[in-house]
Amino acid sequence: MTHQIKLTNVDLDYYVYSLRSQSLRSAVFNLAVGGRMYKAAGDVAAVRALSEINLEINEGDRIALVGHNGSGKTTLLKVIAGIYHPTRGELSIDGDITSMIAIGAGMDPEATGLRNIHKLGMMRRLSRKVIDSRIDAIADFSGLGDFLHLPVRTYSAGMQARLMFAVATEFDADILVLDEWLSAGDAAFVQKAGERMQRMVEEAKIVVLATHDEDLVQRVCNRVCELSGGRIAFLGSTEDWVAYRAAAAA
Amino acid sequence: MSSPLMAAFKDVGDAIRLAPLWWRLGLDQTASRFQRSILGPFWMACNLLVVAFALAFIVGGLMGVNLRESYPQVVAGLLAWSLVGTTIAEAQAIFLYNAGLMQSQRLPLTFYVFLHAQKAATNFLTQLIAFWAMMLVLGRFAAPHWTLLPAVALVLLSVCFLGFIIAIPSTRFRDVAYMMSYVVQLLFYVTPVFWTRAQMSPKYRWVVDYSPLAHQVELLRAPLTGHAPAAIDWLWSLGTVGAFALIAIALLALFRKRVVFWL
Repeated sequence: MTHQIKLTNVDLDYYVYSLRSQSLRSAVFNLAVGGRMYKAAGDVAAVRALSEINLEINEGDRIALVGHNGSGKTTLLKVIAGIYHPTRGELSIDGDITSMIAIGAGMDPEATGLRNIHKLGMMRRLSRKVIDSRIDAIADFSGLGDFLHLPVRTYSAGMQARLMFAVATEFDADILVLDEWLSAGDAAFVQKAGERMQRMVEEAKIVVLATHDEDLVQRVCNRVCELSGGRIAFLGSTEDWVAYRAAAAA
Repeated sequence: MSSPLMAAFKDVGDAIRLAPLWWRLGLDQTASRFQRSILGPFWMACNLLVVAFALAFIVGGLMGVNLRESYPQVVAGLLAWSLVGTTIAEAQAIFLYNAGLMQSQRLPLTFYVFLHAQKAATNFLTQLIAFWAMMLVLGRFAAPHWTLLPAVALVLLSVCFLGFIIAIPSTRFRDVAYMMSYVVQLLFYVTPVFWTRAQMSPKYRWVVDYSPLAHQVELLRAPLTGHAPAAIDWLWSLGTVGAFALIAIALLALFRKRVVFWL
Protein backbone atom coordinates (compact mmCIF):
# COMPACT_ATOMS: atom_id res chain seq x y z
CA MET A 1 0.00 0.00 0.00
CA THR A 2 1.34 3.41 -0.89
CA HIS A 3 1.02 6.17 1.62
CA GLN A 4 -0.07 9.62 0.65
CA ILE A 5 -1.49 12.82 2.08
CA LYS A 6 -3.39 15.10 -0.26
CA LEU A 7 -4.95 18.45 0.52
CA THR A 8 -7.04 20.15 -2.15
CA ASN A 9 -8.11 23.77 -1.70
CA VAL A 10 -8.26 23.40 2.05
CA ASP A 11 -9.50 26.36 4.07
CA LEU A 12 -9.69 26.33 7.81
CA ASP A 13 -11.60 28.87 9.86
CA TYR A 14 -10.80 28.86 13.51
CA TYR A 15 -13.86 29.93 15.48
CA VAL A 16 -13.33 31.81 18.68
CA TYR A 17 -16.33 31.90 20.94
CA SER A 18 -17.40 34.53 23.45
CA LEU A 19 -15.67 37.84 22.94
CA ARG A 20 -14.92 38.18 26.62
CA SER A 21 -13.03 34.94 26.92
CA GLN A 22 -9.35 34.43 27.45
CA SER A 23 -9.10 32.62 24.14
CA LEU A 24 -10.24 35.71 22.26
CA ARG A 25 -7.48 37.77 23.74
CA SER A 26 -5.00 35.26 22.44
CA ALA A 27 -6.71 35.31 19.03
CA VAL A 28 -6.33 39.09 18.85
CA PHE A 29 -2.74 38.59 19.80
CA ASN A 30 -2.40 36.13 16.92
CA LEU A 31 -3.62 38.82 14.57
CA ALA A 32 -0.63 40.94 15.46
CA VAL A 33 1.68 38.08 14.63
CA GLY A 34 0.11 36.77 11.48
CA GLY A 35 -3.39 35.22 11.53
CA ARG A 36 -6.15 36.84 9.51
CA MET A 37 -9.08 37.69 11.66
CA TYR A 38 -12.46 38.76 10.56
CA LYS A 39 -15.73 39.16 12.35
CA ALA A 40 -18.41 36.55 12.05
CA ALA A 41 -21.93 36.98 13.41
CA GLY A 42 -22.53 38.09 16.98
CA ASP A 43 -20.30 36.83 19.71
CA VAL A 44 -18.25 34.60 17.47
CA ALA A 45 -15.01 35.65 15.84
CA ALA A 46 -13.46 33.63 13.05
CA VAL A 47 -9.79 33.48 12.25
CA ARG A 48 -8.91 32.31 8.76
CA ALA A 49 -6.02 30.13 9.85
CA LEU A 50 -5.43 28.40 6.50
CA SER A 51 -6.55 29.34 3.03
CA GLU A 52 -6.34 27.55 -0.29
CA ILE A 53 -3.83 24.96 0.80
CA ASN A 54 -2.92 22.57 -2.02
CA LEU A 55 -0.38 20.05 -0.91
CA GLU A 56 0.52 16.54 -1.95
CA ILE A 57 2.88 14.56 0.27
CA ASN A 58 4.06 11.22 -1.10
CA GLU A 59 5.87 8.19 0.16
CA GLY A 60 9.45 8.93 1.11
CA ASP A 61 8.83 12.61 1.76
CA ARG A 62 10.22 14.27 4.81
CA ILE A 63 8.49 17.59 4.56
CA ALA A 64 9.26 20.57 6.79
CA LEU A 65 6.60 23.15 7.54
CA VAL A 66 8.27 26.48 8.17
CA GLY A 67 7.04 30.02 8.72
CA HIS A 68 7.01 32.53 11.55
CA ASN A 69 4.79 32.26 14.63
CA GLY A 70 1.11 32.29 13.74
CA SER A 71 1.66 31.46 10.09
CA GLY A 72 -0.46 28.31 10.39
CA LYS A 73 2.12 25.54 10.83
CA THR A 74 0.55 23.85 13.82
CA THR A 75 -2.94 24.31 12.40
CA LEU A 76 -1.88 22.61 9.18
CA LEU A 77 -0.32 19.79 11.22
CA LYS A 78 -3.60 19.39 13.10
CA VAL A 79 -5.54 19.26 9.83
CA ILE A 80 -3.18 16.58 8.51
CA ALA A 81 -3.45 14.67 11.79
CA GLY A 82 -7.27 14.72 11.47
CA ILE A 83 -7.82 16.79 14.61
CA TYR A 84 -9.30 19.78 12.78
CA HIS A 85 -11.74 19.16 9.95
CA PRO A 86 -11.24 21.50 6.97
CA THR A 87 -13.92 24.18 6.70
CA ARG A 88 -13.78 23.85 2.92
CA GLY A 89 -11.81 21.65 0.57
CA GLU A 90 -10.82 18.01 0.53
CA LEU A 91 -8.35 16.07 2.59
CA SER A 92 -7.41 12.50 1.82
CA ILE A 93 -5.01 10.40 3.82
CA ASP A 94 -3.73 6.91 3.06
CA GLY A 95 -1.82 5.45 5.97
CA ASP A 96 -1.78 5.23 9.72
CA ILE A 97 -0.90 8.52 11.38
CA THR A 98 1.09 8.99 14.56
CA SER A 99 0.92 12.57 15.67
CA MET A 100 3.06 14.15 18.35
CA ILE A 101 1.81 17.69 18.32
CA ALA A 102 1.85 18.98 21.87
CA ILE A 103 4.67 18.14 24.21
CA GLY A 104 3.38 16.07 27.09
CA ALA A 105 0.04 15.31 25.39
CA GLY A 106 -1.32 11.94 26.42
CA MET A 107 1.12 11.66 29.29
CA ASP A 108 0.06 11.49 32.91
CA PRO A 109 2.38 13.78 34.90
CA GLU A 110 1.84 11.78 38.10
CA ALA A 111 2.87 8.46 36.55
CA THR A 112 6.43 7.33 36.00
CA GLY A 113 8.19 7.46 32.65
CA LEU A 114 7.81 3.71 32.23
CA ARG A 115 4.09 3.81 32.91
CA ASN A 116 3.74 6.65 30.45
CA ILE A 117 5.47 4.57 27.78
CA HIS A 118 2.72 2.01 28.35
CA LYS A 119 0.09 4.75 28.25
CA LEU A 120 1.37 6.21 24.98
CA GLY A 121 1.64 2.72 23.51
CA MET A 122 -1.90 1.99 24.62
CA MET A 123 -3.16 5.11 22.83
CA ARG A 124 -1.52 3.68 19.73
CA ARG A 125 -3.70 0.58 20.21
CA LEU A 126 -0.79 -1.73 20.92
CA SER A 127 -1.06 -4.77 23.14
CA ARG A 128 0.77 -4.90 26.44
CA LYS A 129 3.00 -7.62 24.99
CA VAL A 130 4.14 -5.50 22.06
CA ILE A 131 4.83 -2.55 24.34
CA ASP A 132 6.81 -4.71 26.77
CA SER A 133 8.91 -6.11 23.95
CA ARG A 134 9.92 -2.61 22.85
CA ILE A 135 10.33 -0.97 26.20
CA ASP A 136 14.07 -1.55 26.44
CA ALA A 137 14.64 -0.06 23.02
CA ILE A 138 12.58 2.99 23.97
CA ALA A 139 14.37 3.44 27.28
CA ASP A 140 17.67 3.13 25.50
CA PHE A 141 16.85 5.60 22.74
CA SER A 142 15.40 8.17 25.12
CA GLY A 143 18.66 8.07 27.12
CA LEU A 144 16.68 8.77 30.30
CA GLY A 145 18.06 5.81 32.26
CA ASP A 146 16.92 5.74 35.88
CA PHE A 147 14.80 8.86 35.37
CA LEU A 148 12.22 6.53 33.80
CA HIS A 149 11.32 5.42 37.32
CA LEU A 150 10.42 8.99 38.34
CA PRO A 151 7.07 10.71 37.73
CA VAL A 152 6.96 12.64 34.48
CA ARG A 153 6.10 15.87 36.34
CA THR A 154 9.71 15.95 37.49
CA TYR A 155 10.96 15.96 33.88
CA SER A 156 12.21 19.00 31.98
CA ALA A 157 10.65 19.84 28.60
CA GLY A 158 13.69 18.34 26.89
CA MET A 159 13.33 15.08 28.80
CA GLN A 160 9.64 14.87 27.94
CA ALA A 161 10.48 15.50 24.29
CA ARG A 162 13.02 12.65 24.40
CA LEU A 163 10.49 10.25 25.88
CA MET A 164 7.70 11.18 23.47
CA PHE A 165 9.88 11.04 20.41
CA ALA A 166 11.32 7.69 21.43
CA VAL A 167 7.82 6.25 21.82
CA ALA A 168 6.47 7.89 18.65
CA THR A 169 9.19 6.48 16.45
CA GLU A 170 9.73 3.09 18.06
CA PHE A 171 6.31 1.79 17.14
CA ASP A 172 5.72 1.53 13.42
CA ALA A 173 3.78 4.39 11.91
CA ASP A 174 3.17 5.08 8.25
CA ILE A 175 2.96 8.81 8.73
CA LEU A 176 4.68 10.71 11.53
CA VAL A 177 3.45 14.22 12.31
CA LEU A 178 5.69 16.22 14.64
CA ASP A 179 5.47 19.77 15.92
CA GLU A 180 8.46 21.93 16.72
CA TRP A 181 8.84 20.69 20.31
CA LEU A 182 11.53 18.35 19.05
CA SER A 183 14.01 21.20 19.38
CA ALA A 184 13.41 21.18 23.15
CA GLY A 185 15.93 18.33 23.19
CA ASP A 186 19.65 19.07 23.30
CA ALA A 187 21.94 18.99 20.25
CA ALA A 188 22.95 15.36 20.76
CA PHE A 189 19.34 14.26 20.90
CA VAL A 190 18.26 16.32 17.89
CA GLN A 191 21.11 14.66 15.98
CA LYS A 192 19.95 11.20 17.06
CA ALA A 193 16.33 12.05 16.25
CA GLY A 194 17.34 13.26 12.81
CA GLU A 195 19.09 9.97 12.07
CA ARG A 196 16.07 8.03 13.18
CA MET A 197 13.73 10.06 10.98
CA GLN A 198 16.05 9.38 8.05
CA ARG A 199 15.79 5.68 8.80
CA MET A 200 11.99 5.90 8.88
CA VAL A 201 12.02 7.47 5.45
CA GLU A 202 14.21 4.68 4.13
CA GLU A 203 11.33 2.41 5.11
CA ALA A 204 9.18 4.51 2.78
CA LYS A 205 7.35 6.42 5.47
CA ILE A 206 6.18 10.02 5.52
CA VAL A 207 7.42 12.55 8.03
CA VAL A 208 5.76 15.96 8.44
CA LEU A 209 7.73 18.23 10.75
CA ALA A 210 6.99 21.80 11.79
CA THR A 211 10.10 23.66 12.87
CA HIS A 212 11.98 26.95 13.10
CA ASP A 213 15.36 25.28 13.02
CA GLU A 214 16.91 25.76 9.58
CA ASP A 215 19.75 23.37 10.33
CA LEU A 216 17.26 20.67 11.24
CA VAL A 217 15.36 21.28 8.00
CA GLN A 218 18.51 20.93 5.93
CA ARG A 219 19.70 17.85 7.78
CA VAL A 220 16.43 15.95 7.90
CA CYS A 221 13.97 17.11 5.26
CA ASN A 222 13.92 16.78 1.50
CA ARG A 223 10.95 19.11 0.94
CA VAL A 224 9.89 22.39 2.47
CA CYS A 225 6.52 24.10 2.67
CA GLU A 226 6.74 27.69 3.88
CA LEU A 227 3.55 29.22 5.21
CA SER A 228 2.79 32.90 5.52
CA GLY A 229 -0.52 34.26 6.82
CA GLY A 230 -2.13 30.86 6.37
CA ARG A 231 -1.15 30.52 2.72
CA ILE A 232 1.61 28.54 1.08
CA ALA A 233 4.39 31.00 0.28
CA PHE A 234 6.89 28.43 -0.94
CA LEU A 235 6.72 24.75 -1.79
CA GLY A 236 9.68 22.84 -3.18
CA SER A 237 12.85 20.92 -2.47
CA THR A 238 15.11 21.84 0.42
CA GLU A 239 17.86 23.07 -1.94
CA ASP A 240 15.42 25.36 -3.74
CA TRP A 241 14.18 26.65 -0.40
CA VAL A 242 17.71 27.51 0.74
CA ALA A 243 18.17 29.42 -2.51
CA TYR A 244 14.78 31.10 -2.06
CA ARG A 245 15.73 32.17 1.45
CA ALA A 246 19.06 33.49 0.27
CA ALA A 247 17.31 35.48 -2.51
CA ALA A 248 14.75 36.83 -0.02
CA ALA A 249 17.50 37.90 2.36
CA ALA A 250 19.51 39.65 -0.39
CA MET B 1 -19.24 14.59 0.05
CA SER B 2 -21.14 12.50 2.56
CA SER B 3 -24.00 14.08 4.45
CA PRO B 4 -23.49 15.22 8.06
CA LEU B 5 -25.92 12.53 9.19
CA MET B 6 -23.93 9.76 7.54
CA ALA B 7 -20.78 11.24 9.04
CA ALA B 8 -22.42 11.13 12.48
CA PHE B 9 -23.25 7.43 12.08
CA LYS B 10 -19.73 6.78 10.84
CA ASP B 11 -18.41 8.56 13.94
CA VAL B 12 -20.41 6.22 16.17
CA GLY B 13 -19.31 3.18 14.15
CA ASP B 14 -15.64 4.17 14.36
CA ALA B 15 -15.98 4.60 18.12
CA ILE B 16 -17.53 1.14 18.47
CA ARG B 17 -14.55 -0.34 16.64
CA LEU B 18 -12.27 1.45 19.12
CA ALA B 19 -13.90 -0.39 22.04
CA PRO B 20 -10.66 -2.02 23.26
CA LEU B 21 -9.06 1.42 23.45
CA TRP B 22 -11.77 3.25 25.42
CA TRP B 23 -12.16 0.21 27.62
CA ARG B 24 -8.48 0.29 28.62
CA LEU B 25 -8.33 4.08 28.78
CA GLY B 26 -11.43 4.21 30.98
CA LEU B 27 -9.93 1.77 33.48
CA ASP B 28 -6.67 3.70 33.33
CA GLN B 29 -8.39 7.05 33.99
CA THR B 30 -10.37 5.54 36.86
CA ALA B 31 -7.21 4.12 38.38
CA SER B 32 -5.26 7.35 38.00
CA ARG B 33 -8.06 9.31 39.71
CA PHE B 34 -7.17 7.46 42.88
CA GLN B 35 -3.42 7.50 42.45
CA ARG B 36 -1.42 7.79 45.66
CA SER B 37 -4.42 6.80 47.79
CA ILE B 38 -4.34 3.58 49.76
CA LEU B 39 -7.95 2.47 49.20
CA GLY B 40 -7.81 3.38 45.50
CA PRO B 41 -11.05 2.86 43.55
CA PHE B 42 -12.74 1.60 46.73
CA TRP B 43 -13.21 5.24 47.64
CA MET B 44 -16.04 5.14 45.10
CA ALA B 45 -17.72 2.43 47.18
CA CYS B 46 -17.18 4.38 50.41
CA ASN B 47 -19.15 7.23 48.90
CA LEU B 48 -22.21 4.98 48.65
CA LEU B 49 -21.79 3.56 52.17
CA VAL B 50 -21.48 6.94 53.87
CA VAL B 51 -24.33 8.67 52.04
CA ALA B 52 -26.56 5.60 52.45
CA PHE B 53 -25.95 5.59 56.17
CA ALA B 54 -26.56 9.31 56.58
CA LEU B 55 -29.72 9.33 54.49
CA ALA B 56 -31.20 6.22 56.09
CA PHE B 57 -30.54 7.79 59.49
CA ILE B 58 -32.38 10.97 58.51
CA VAL B 59 -35.21 9.23 56.70
CA GLY B 60 -35.63 6.73 59.52
CA GLY B 61 -35.26 9.33 62.25
CA LEU B 62 -37.29 12.22 60.88
CA MET B 63 -40.01 10.38 59.05
CA GLY B 64 -40.44 7.68 61.62
CA VAL B 65 -40.06 4.89 59.11
CA ASN B 66 -38.40 1.80 60.47
CA LEU B 67 -34.74 2.01 59.51
CA ARG B 68 -34.54 -1.69 58.76
CA GLU B 69 -37.42 -1.37 56.31
CA SER B 70 -36.23 1.67 54.39
CA TYR B 71 -32.53 0.91 54.33
CA PRO B 72 -32.24 -1.48 51.33
CA GLN B 73 -34.69 0.71 49.40
CA VAL B 74 -32.69 3.87 50.03
CA VAL B 75 -29.32 2.31 49.31
CA ALA B 76 -30.55 0.62 46.13
CA GLY B 77 -32.06 3.95 45.09
CA LEU B 78 -28.75 5.72 45.69
CA LEU B 79 -26.93 3.06 43.74
CA ALA B 80 -29.38 3.50 40.86
CA TRP B 81 -29.01 7.28 41.08
CA SER B 82 -25.23 7.02 40.77
CA LEU B 83 -25.77 5.65 37.27
CA VAL B 84 -28.89 7.58 36.28
CA GLY B 85 -28.27 11.00 37.83
CA THR B 86 -24.65 11.52 38.82
CA THR B 87 -23.54 10.74 35.27
CA ILE B 88 -25.54 13.78 34.10
CA ALA B 89 -23.36 16.02 36.25
CA GLU B 90 -20.23 14.29 35.01
CA ALA B 91 -21.31 14.48 31.36
CA GLN B 92 -20.61 18.22 31.13
CA ALA B 93 -16.88 17.46 31.36
CA ILE B 94 -16.77 14.70 28.73
CA PHE B 95 -14.94 16.82 26.18
CA LEU B 96 -13.39 19.36 28.55
CA TYR B 97 -11.67 16.64 30.60
CA ASN B 98 -10.17 15.10 27.48
CA ALA B 99 -9.28 18.41 25.81
CA GLY B 100 -5.57 17.52 25.68
CA LEU B 101 -6.26 14.22 23.98
CA MET B 102 -8.77 15.76 21.56
CA GLN B 103 -6.21 18.31 20.44
CA SER B 104 -3.44 15.82 19.91
CA GLN B 105 -4.96 12.67 18.46
CA ARG B 106 -7.62 11.91 15.90
CA LEU B 107 -10.45 10.02 17.56
CA PRO B 108 -14.19 10.05 16.85
CA LEU B 109 -16.23 12.34 19.09
CA THR B 110 -18.34 9.36 20.18
CA PHE B 111 -15.16 7.78 21.56
CA TYR B 112 -15.18 10.23 24.47
CA VAL B 113 -18.84 9.54 25.19
CA PHE B 114 -18.17 5.80 25.33
CA LEU B 115 -15.19 6.51 27.57
CA HIS B 116 -17.54 8.40 29.91
CA ALA B 117 -20.02 5.49 29.88
CA GLN B 118 -17.21 3.01 30.57
CA LYS B 119 -16.14 4.99 33.64
CA ALA B 120 -19.76 5.24 34.79
CA ALA B 121 -20.16 1.47 34.41
CA THR B 122 -16.96 0.79 36.36
CA ASN B 123 -18.12 3.10 39.10
CA PHE B 124 -21.53 1.40 39.18
CA LEU B 125 -19.98 -2.05 39.38
CA THR B 126 -17.72 -1.07 42.30
CA GLN B 127 -20.69 0.36 44.18
CA LEU B 128 -22.80 -2.68 43.31
CA ILE B 129 -20.25 -4.93 45.01
CA ALA B 130 -20.26 -2.63 48.03
CA PHE B 131 -24.06 -2.72 48.04
CA TRP B 132 -24.21 -6.52 48.06
CA ALA B 133 -21.49 -6.74 50.70
CA MET B 134 -23.38 -4.27 52.88
CA MET B 135 -26.68 -6.13 52.48
CA LEU B 136 -25.00 -9.45 53.32
CA VAL B 137 -23.52 -8.00 56.49
CA LEU B 138 -26.92 -6.58 57.49
CA GLY B 139 -28.66 -9.84 56.68
CA ARG B 140 -30.90 -8.06 54.16
CA PHE B 141 -29.41 -9.52 50.98
CA ALA B 142 -31.98 -10.18 48.25
CA ALA B 143 -30.97 -12.13 45.15
CA PRO B 144 -31.14 -9.69 42.23
CA HIS B 145 -33.82 -10.26 39.61
CA TRP B 146 -32.43 -11.28 36.18
CA THR B 147 -33.87 -8.09 34.63
CA LEU B 148 -30.99 -6.21 36.27
CA LEU B 149 -28.80 -6.98 33.24
CA PRO B 150 -31.10 -5.56 30.53
CA ALA B 151 -31.99 -2.67 32.86
CA VAL B 152 -28.34 -1.70 33.32
CA ALA B 153 -27.75 -2.03 29.57
CA LEU B 154 -30.68 0.25 28.80
CA VAL B 155 -29.63 2.85 31.37
CA LEU B 156 -26.06 2.77 29.99
CA LEU B 157 -27.47 3.51 26.53
CA SER B 158 -29.29 6.44 28.05
CA VAL B 159 -26.03 7.57 29.70
CA CYS B 160 -24.36 7.58 26.27
CA PHE B 161 -27.08 9.57 24.49
CA LEU B 162 -27.50 12.00 27.39
CA GLY B 163 -23.73 12.36 27.29
CA PHE B 164 -23.95 13.99 23.86
CA ILE B 165 -26.97 16.07 24.81
CA ILE B 166 -25.21 17.54 27.83
CA ALA B 167 -21.57 17.58 26.78
CA ILE B 168 -22.01 19.35 23.43
CA PRO B 169 -23.83 22.45 24.79
CA SER B 170 -21.64 22.45 27.92
CA THR B 171 -18.50 22.70 25.84
CA ARG B 172 -19.94 25.55 23.75
CA PHE B 173 -21.55 27.49 26.61
CA ARG B 174 -19.55 27.14 29.79
CA ASP B 175 -22.45 28.39 31.88
CA VAL B 176 -24.31 25.18 31.05
CA ALA B 177 -21.40 23.24 32.52
CA TYR B 178 -21.67 25.08 35.84
CA MET B 179 -25.44 24.90 35.77
CA MET B 180 -25.50 21.10 35.42
CA SER B 181 -24.35 20.34 38.97
CA TYR B 182 -27.24 22.42 40.34
CA VAL B 183 -29.72 20.91 37.92
CA VAL B 184 -28.69 17.44 39.04
CA GLN B 185 -29.03 18.44 42.68
CA LEU B 186 -32.55 19.63 41.97
CA LEU B 187 -33.37 16.46 40.03
CA PHE B 188 -32.11 14.37 42.91
CA TYR B 189 -34.61 15.91 45.32
CA VAL B 190 -37.58 15.52 42.96
CA THR B 191 -36.69 11.89 42.21
CA PRO B 192 -37.94 9.29 44.69
CA VAL B 193 -34.55 8.07 45.87
CA PHE B 194 -34.89 8.36 49.64
CA TRP B 195 -38.62 8.87 49.61
CA THR B 196 -41.31 6.89 47.82
CA ARG B 197 -44.05 7.84 45.39
CA ALA B 198 -46.64 6.79 47.97
CA GLN B 199 -45.33 9.34 50.48
CA MET B 200 -45.83 12.17 47.99
CA SER B 201 -49.10 14.08 48.18
CA PRO B 202 -51.32 12.94 45.27
CA LYS B 203 -51.41 16.54 43.94
CA TYR B 204 -47.69 16.37 43.15
CA ARG B 205 -47.36 12.73 42.07
CA TRP B 206 -47.05 13.82 38.45
CA VAL B 207 -43.48 14.89 39.35
CA VAL B 208 -42.73 11.19 39.71
CA ASP B 209 -45.06 9.86 37.04
CA TYR B 210 -43.72 12.08 34.25
CA SER B 211 -40.05 12.02 35.23
CA PRO B 212 -37.87 9.87 32.92
CA LEU B 213 -35.23 9.74 35.64
CA ALA B 214 -37.67 8.43 38.24
CA HIS B 215 -38.61 5.60 35.88
CA GLN B 216 -34.95 4.79 35.21
CA VAL B 217 -34.18 4.74 38.93
CA GLU B 218 -37.12 2.41 39.49
CA LEU B 219 -35.99 0.24 36.56
CA LEU B 220 -32.72 -0.39 38.38
CA ARG B 221 -33.98 -0.38 41.95
CA ALA B 222 -36.64 -3.06 41.47
CA PRO B 223 -34.27 -5.82 40.25
CA LEU B 224 -31.67 -4.74 42.81
CA THR B 225 -34.16 -5.46 45.57
CA GLY B 226 -35.24 -8.71 43.93
CA HIS B 227 -38.36 -7.74 41.95
CA ALA B 228 -39.10 -7.32 38.25
CA PRO B 229 -39.56 -3.66 37.26
CA ALA B 230 -43.09 -2.56 36.32
CA ALA B 231 -44.00 -2.50 32.63
CA ILE B 232 -44.55 1.28 32.82
CA ASP B 233 -40.90 1.76 33.86
CA TRP B 234 -39.73 -0.27 30.87
CA LEU B 235 -41.96 1.70 28.52
CA TRP B 236 -40.85 5.07 29.85
CA SER B 237 -37.20 4.11 29.80
CA LEU B 238 -37.34 2.71 26.26
CA GLY B 239 -39.23 5.78 25.09
CA THR B 240 -36.81 8.27 26.62
CA VAL B 241 -33.77 6.38 25.35
CA GLY B 242 -35.29 6.54 21.84
CA ALA B 243 -35.92 10.27 22.17
CA PHE B 244 -32.45 10.89 23.58
CA ALA B 245 -30.96 8.90 20.68
CA LEU B 246 -32.65 11.13 18.10
CA ILE B 247 -31.50 14.34 19.79
CA ALA B 248 -27.98 12.97 20.30
CA ILE B 249 -27.55 11.97 16.65
CA ALA B 250 -28.90 15.34 15.51
CA LEU B 251 -26.45 17.20 17.75
CA LEU B 252 -23.59 15.00 16.59
CA ALA B 253 -24.45 15.57 12.94
CA LEU B 254 -24.69 19.34 13.41
CA PHE B 255 -21.70 20.04 15.63
CA ARG B 256 -19.27 17.14 15.18
CA LYS B 257 -16.64 19.25 13.45
CA ARG B 258 -17.06 22.25 15.71
CA VAL B 259 -16.60 20.77 19.19
CA VAL B 260 -12.80 20.72 19.00
CA PHE B 261 -12.77 24.50 18.45
CA TRP B 262 -14.86 25.08 21.55
CA LEU B 263 -12.33 23.55 23.92
